[in-house]
Amino acid sequence: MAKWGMVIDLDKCTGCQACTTACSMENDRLPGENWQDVLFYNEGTYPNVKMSWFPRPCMHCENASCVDVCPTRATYKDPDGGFVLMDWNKCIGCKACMAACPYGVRFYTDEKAVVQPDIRSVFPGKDGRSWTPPYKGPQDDPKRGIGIAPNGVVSKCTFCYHKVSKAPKGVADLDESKPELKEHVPACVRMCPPTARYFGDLDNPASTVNKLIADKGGVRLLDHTGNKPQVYYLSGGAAASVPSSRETNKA
Amino acid sequence: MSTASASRSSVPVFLLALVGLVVTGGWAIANLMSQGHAAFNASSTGLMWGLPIVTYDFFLLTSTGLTMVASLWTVFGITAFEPIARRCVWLAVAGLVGGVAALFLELGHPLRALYAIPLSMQFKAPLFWKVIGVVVYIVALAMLVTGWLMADARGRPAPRFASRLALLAAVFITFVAGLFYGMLAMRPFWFGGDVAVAFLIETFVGGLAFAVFFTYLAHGFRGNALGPSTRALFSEALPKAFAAVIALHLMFVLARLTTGLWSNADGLQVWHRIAGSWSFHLELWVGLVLPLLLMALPGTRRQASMQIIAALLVMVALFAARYQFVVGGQLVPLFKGAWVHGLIEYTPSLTEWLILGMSISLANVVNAFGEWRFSLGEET
Repeated sequence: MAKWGMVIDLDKCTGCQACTTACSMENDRLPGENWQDVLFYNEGTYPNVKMSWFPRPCMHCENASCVDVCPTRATYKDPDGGFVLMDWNKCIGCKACMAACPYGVRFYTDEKAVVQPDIRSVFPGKDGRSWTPPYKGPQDDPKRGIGIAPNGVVSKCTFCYHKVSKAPKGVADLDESKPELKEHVPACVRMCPPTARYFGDLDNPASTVNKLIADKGGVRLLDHTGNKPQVYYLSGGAAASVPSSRETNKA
Repeated sequence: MSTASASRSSVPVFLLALVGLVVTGGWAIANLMSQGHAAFNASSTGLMWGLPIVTYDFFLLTSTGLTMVASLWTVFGITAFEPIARRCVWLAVAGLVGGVAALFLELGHPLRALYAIPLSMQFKAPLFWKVIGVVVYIVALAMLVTGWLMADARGRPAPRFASRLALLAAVFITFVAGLFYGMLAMRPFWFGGDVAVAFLIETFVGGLAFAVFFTYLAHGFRGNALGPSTRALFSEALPKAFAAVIALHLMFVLARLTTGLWSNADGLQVWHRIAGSWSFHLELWVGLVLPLLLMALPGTRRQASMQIIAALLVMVALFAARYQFVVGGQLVPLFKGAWVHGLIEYTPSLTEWLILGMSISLANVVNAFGEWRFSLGEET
């Protein structure tokens, strides 16, 4: 069984947000419900200022605190692939997973629209779903948090489970440059213009993702929490960097 | 004042609370039905838990605190606390009803929660254990109400098994509630093994404050209307115990404040925000230090008016503290939305305030009903 993981090369990332758009289109997310977000921030004070950006999907952690905290097992770790998924039929909308996620990658489906006007009022939901987009993909699997979410549940990135889970067995990397694999590559990886993203099997020593992590010193975000993300970042400090500081009230 | 006259005086409270329940509850539910949870100011890019969760936590833990106070007589046999034990048990029921009502309006699928949590067997989740604790707690309180309050068995000890079960469940729920927050290492403001212990002490303080206030409310806020046993309790043991637990709670508050202000850890800068707010200082000096002085000084601790003021101030201060705790732990945005340099801003919406009003009203309706139907105080 594969343990799928992602490597994001921050030296290559241009912050173009094609990953955000591709994810939203592929997974029919609401405007602002950015499963794959790019965070923009600046550091320093004038004239020594730097604007940076940071792409942030769900980390699909090995020791996911969102899984352990869920009182109904609605959030679970799929042993076949290592995906962290949501079962919308079990979710009660308590939002404990959102409190326990160190990365802020979870979204509650029943709240004020992030982007106005609220598109849900233009395309109201049917059959208990939160909205009815005019165009949507065919995938629909509420037990894995795929498709249009019902009201009152939490949604999150699935690592494009509906594509990745159908990849040929034993493949080390899902590389969009290989025609036979491109349909199995997560949308954010496939659409990345500077190919800053790599997706492969972390349990396969021959995979490109493992080589990149070893050769370029891949780091995991907030590793001290012990969640062991399956997303690694490469950063030589040339462009975007892992955020390490936040303003405090201390002088 | 006899229990009978105390029950008569509860009718205006009942009617007032009923009007409040209809207005606030009706308004809140109408907003939720028309807007869904968009009527809240909580959001995925901001705070996920707002005022309704604060309300739920506050009422639930007030309920467990009242059960702890009742158990001083029902379990530990301290006879001085017998006059308020029955009232504390019923107040615990009222608090529980008010808290659960707020939670049900906050959850995305409250009815699903009723079966999905107990059947999940998710032993790793503290909220699973908390719900199991609440189920046991409801059963124990039901046994106490039917076997003791409804049977009008005053003068006789409370059912032993039900009393012990209620105390165990109350301590367990409070402890697990604290553990849940304390386990979240990614949120340093909440993190720590001391949180569960702090919750237990805070809960007991709240239990005593509510016991004092609602005992006086049942007697028209007149100290000379209290029965002789109640008056004896309120003259000696209770104010001293009240002062002692306020002091203990105050030490926990100051310890957390000091470590929070000193530390550089990302997440603890929330303490700077809190320490700089007028509401915190009002809570600290007026809500805790002043009641401590009122209850510690021999000249004031026996006065009914001072006890009522102290109880009221502590009740409000504990709610403010619960708000600061629940909200404070979420103010650091982690990696939500576009990168936020500072702290998240949150102001409860009208619907969220209405839910607080609904819970207060509902708890008072239940309590006044109990004062009317059951003999909760001592007979004079």
